[in-house]
Amino acid sequence: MSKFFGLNSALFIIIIAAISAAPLAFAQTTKKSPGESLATIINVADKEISQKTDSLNSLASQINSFGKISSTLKDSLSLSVQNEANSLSDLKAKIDYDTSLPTAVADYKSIVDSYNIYNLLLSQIRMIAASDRALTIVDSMNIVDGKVRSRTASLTGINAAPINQMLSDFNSKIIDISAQSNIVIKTVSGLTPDMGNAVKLAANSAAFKSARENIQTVTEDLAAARKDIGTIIKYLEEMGDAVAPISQK
Amino acid sequence: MSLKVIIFILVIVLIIAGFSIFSLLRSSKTVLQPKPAVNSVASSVTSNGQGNGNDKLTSSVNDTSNAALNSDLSAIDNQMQELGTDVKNVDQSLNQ
Repeated sequence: MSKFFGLNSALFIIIIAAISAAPLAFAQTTKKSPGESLATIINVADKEISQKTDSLNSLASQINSFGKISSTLKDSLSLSVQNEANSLSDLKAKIDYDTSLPTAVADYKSIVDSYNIYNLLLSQIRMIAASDRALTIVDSMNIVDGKVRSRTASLTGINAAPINQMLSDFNSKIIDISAQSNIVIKTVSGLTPDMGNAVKLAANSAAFKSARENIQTVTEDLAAARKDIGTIIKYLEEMGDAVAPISQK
Repeated sequence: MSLKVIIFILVIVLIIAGFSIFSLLRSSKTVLQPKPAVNSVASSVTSNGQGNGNDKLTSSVNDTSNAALNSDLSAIDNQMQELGTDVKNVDQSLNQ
């Protein structure tokens, strides 16, 4: 009986030991040597840094193309982008020469930390880009407004009240687009990275949300202004000679 | 009896050791996983560069003809389309 019990116990131990060792044996086949792990981390970090650097370069080009933003703000944004790119470049140089796994892992994590600055810059610059575009459209619309007023000034024998009313509405929309766009620029250009500060994070989120609402108003105003000016021009076309272009009179 | 206790403890130790090593190896592999790609400018929808209104309108400022006005409207429509792209990019960056 005791012999039987001893045999069973031995068998039981062997089975348990095999089950316990199986994951270990499996893991051993996928485990990398410290040298390989270090190389992998450096490779992954380099790729991420390269990707972000490319993005920052694109942002820098976009800033240069802004036509309605003050040179002071453009310089400030460009400097922020350049600083972030420099910081990533320094980090890449450090990671490339890391010789220990823990150091490489710590450096790799600092790339993630830099997302905070990068994400803020990205949202800031894209919102300013949209506002710059809206202000550019306002310039174009003001030019068309001047042309239309030249045409309507020479109206003869036609009730100009409907056109004047539409022009007035058009102008109020244009004024609002400029105001809203400038609010967006002012709101987002002063934001700084939260760097993990919950209060600052909430304030930045609220500022971006508010600016996004301003952009929504801008797009709605633009659509309304475009409709007004389109209607006015169509009306002028239908009037024919009565409101002939100045150059043809 | 004491032999049975020793065997029991040995088995428990083996099980715990096996799973601890397995968990450790799994967590070390997780560190090496590449992070998801950051929402890059390169991946966003591209639009033309900005400029002032005069650059965008092709007709002369003094040309008030119907053709010039319609040309100006087309240019404004193009700019508004580019603004639509800008706004999409804004939403993309805010949602990442």
